[in-house]
Amino acid sequence: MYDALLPIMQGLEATSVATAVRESAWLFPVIETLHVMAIVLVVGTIWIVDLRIMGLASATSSIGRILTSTLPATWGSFGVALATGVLMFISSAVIYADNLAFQLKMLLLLFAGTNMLLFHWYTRKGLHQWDSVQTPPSYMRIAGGASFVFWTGVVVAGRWIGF
Amino acid sequence: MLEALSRAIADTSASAYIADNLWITPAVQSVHILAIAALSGSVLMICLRLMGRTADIALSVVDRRFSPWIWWPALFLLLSGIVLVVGEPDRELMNILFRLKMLLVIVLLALVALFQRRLRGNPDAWRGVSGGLLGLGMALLWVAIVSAGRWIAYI
Repeated sequence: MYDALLPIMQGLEATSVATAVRESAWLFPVIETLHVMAIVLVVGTIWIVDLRIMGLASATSSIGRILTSTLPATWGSFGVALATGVLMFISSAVIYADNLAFQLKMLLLLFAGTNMLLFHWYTRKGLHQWDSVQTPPSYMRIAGGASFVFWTGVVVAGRWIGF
Repeated sequence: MLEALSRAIADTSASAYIADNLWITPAVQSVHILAIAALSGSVLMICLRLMGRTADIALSVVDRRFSPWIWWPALFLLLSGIVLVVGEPDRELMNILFRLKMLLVIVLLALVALFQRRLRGNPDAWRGVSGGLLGLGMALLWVAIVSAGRWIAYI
């Protein structure tokens, strides 16, 4: 790891919250369980949207209805995944920051987030006109496919952190 | 009985092969968790719809869209789960939480089958309280199953 980051990671590990998570026999597994629940719901609900905007599933339901049904769960779950992820990370920040699978997971999260921002920016005016079409325009299908791949990668990379 | 089964599995060459090839378990676990994500999103959509928490899409449409995405992932979960059990039979079969998880999975899938069966006989079958209770019950079972699954590693 870059030497500049090491003191920051050590500082995170030294916080009382990080110490509590690290030293408790049950806190880490409880946090990890919440993290797993949250992340499978984040990815499961995002896939539903991805498949819809790729034109591969839910074609009879408008994109707006699919988003209304999934987005609250996606964001709520993402908040839980983020909070629990931060808690697990700071408990052993030096090791995680140096873990290749963890680094890859963060990179894929960055890609997924950028893809989502671009998608919302490009569709902010035009989404209503594609709302009910069964097969959205190619740039939306590409964004959906990219999202599907990135989030799948996030889960797989996450699973490899422990190995 | 399970102890004998566990020992018999541990003696197979397949079990030794999985134990010797260290990449197999995490690779199969990755498939397992991706299938859980697909199943979980689908279970959530059905539960939220039953509890009246999503856009007002007809329940029969929700069923046709999401129920297959419970059963197909369930098949992948079974197959990947078998590989994981063969790789570490003692860790799974002799673990009380693994046994509890299997029991709860059977109950959840039975509820999904009941949901589909009644709905296809009568589109209004799950209107009102019965639907809300079914949605809540399936959601709680899901929480228990994922929790038990994660804690197999800790007890």
